[in-house]
Amino acid sequence: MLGHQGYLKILVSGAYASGKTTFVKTVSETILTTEVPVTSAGEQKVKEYTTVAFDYGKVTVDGMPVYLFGTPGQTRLQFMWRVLSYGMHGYIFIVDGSNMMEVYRAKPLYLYMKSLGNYPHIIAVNKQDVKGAVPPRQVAQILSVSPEIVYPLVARDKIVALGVLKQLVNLIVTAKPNIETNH
Amino acid sequence: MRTLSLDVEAIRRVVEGVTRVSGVEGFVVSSSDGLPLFSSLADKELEEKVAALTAVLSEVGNRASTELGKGEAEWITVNAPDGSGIIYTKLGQIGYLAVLFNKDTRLGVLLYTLRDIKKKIGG
Repeated sequence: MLGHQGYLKILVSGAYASGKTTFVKTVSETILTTEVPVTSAGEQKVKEYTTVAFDYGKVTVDGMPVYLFGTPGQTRLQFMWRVLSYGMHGYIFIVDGSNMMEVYRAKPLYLYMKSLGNYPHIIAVNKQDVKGAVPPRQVAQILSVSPEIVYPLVARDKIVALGVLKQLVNLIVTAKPNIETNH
Repeated sequence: MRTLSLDVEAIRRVVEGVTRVSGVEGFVVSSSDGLPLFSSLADKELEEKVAALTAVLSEVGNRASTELGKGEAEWITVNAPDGSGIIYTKLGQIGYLAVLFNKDTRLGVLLYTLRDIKKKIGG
């Protein structure tokens, strides 16, 4: 199923307010978002706007058109993850690295992503510009993954964000086409 | 907060008018980010699912329309094979309304009623 067909579909996934929309907006040349104002008091404390359906962006990486689909973060909207994952070639799992609690909160979501199939993916530890941010190596330990697939991220920083995306594109392009999906 | 809760109560009474349309099975009102505000459904788990789906579908429908320069979607209709379905529409500033209808519903009557409800609520 890999085949590439001259383009890549990449899912950008992660917990609520981890930085998925910011990442898609930062790296994309064209963008479409479905952000709406947050209405619940608890969620408002974290941020003002939230993605309800998906973020969509397109960017060309080393001549390859890359289509990005960002997922909504709230668990009530998590059914969209599977919907958006159809036909993907790989995914970036964004972890809010601003504090340890957020890293632990990301673990079940990461396991869910893995349950969708054995896709090439990387873990991007966002908010590395925040004082006391959790380093990628520690996140790798908590999520029980090789540190080789865990990268530091500042989603607002175009150079850093594009660098992370390029790592995944390389991983997909060099991966053997033996993906088994659980769809 | 008191004013807000009174508003929701008033809005609920207006929206409940839709259940008098023959064939309407129920309704759910959700916030724009997919939280249930109130509904006619007894099953609260189902209410939550419908509310989340209502926000997703309505927002995607709006984007499908606005990206083509046509403005926000007036209605979005989902039709099931048995003739039943769901109509989604914006409900002023509070969010979205999903109305579940069966195959015997006269859609013209339902749309007319919804237009009236939207006019009363404003927006």
